[in-house]
Amino acid sequence: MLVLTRKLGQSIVIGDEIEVVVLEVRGEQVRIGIKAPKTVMVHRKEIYEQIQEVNKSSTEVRTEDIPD
Amino acid sequence: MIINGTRFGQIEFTESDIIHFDEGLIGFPKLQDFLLVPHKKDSPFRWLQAVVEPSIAFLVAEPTHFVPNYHPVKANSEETIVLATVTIPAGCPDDMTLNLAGPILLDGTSKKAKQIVLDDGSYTVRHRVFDKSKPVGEKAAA
Repeated sequence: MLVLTRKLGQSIVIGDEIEVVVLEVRGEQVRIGIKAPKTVMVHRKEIYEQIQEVNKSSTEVRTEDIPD
Repeated sequence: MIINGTRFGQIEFTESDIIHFDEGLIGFPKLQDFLLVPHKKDSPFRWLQAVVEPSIAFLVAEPTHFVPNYHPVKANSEETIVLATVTIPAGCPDDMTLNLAGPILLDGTSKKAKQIVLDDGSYTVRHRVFDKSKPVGEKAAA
């Protein structure tokens, strides 16, 4: 993983179209601003992983368990 | 064209039946083409059968069948069909849950689909459909 140190208000650019800005640092919380094209999905990792997990579960449902 | 789905055996289809996800489903970016196969006649459940991978089919349902006031997006075109992936633990149909935080939006005309993420906390990925305090199969009050 590439590791960069940034100060408040400083940014990182990823490619030509994505910019990540450090907006606020308060204790253990960091607020991050992300500018990206609409076609790029940006989400908290937790929810993304949860959706992956339930998507996978939906492929494993047994036919006999499906309610009428 | 024909695929031999692991769950359903042979499925005959034409190019126009194919539902295309540009980005695949979340966690499955390489599977982009699907067929929507009914589970049973008059059942709210359907399978999204991957065209290139006969062993993979996602159980989905129209969430409004169970959660009538579910509106994941504001400006819903009439052509948009909303689906949610369904989880049912083996042997526990009363523990069925719908993924309401990651709905699938399908344009019935263009057959293009996308799974979106609602991460504002208004819905969960495991929305219980049946009230646990009620007997198996009985629907929770909406």
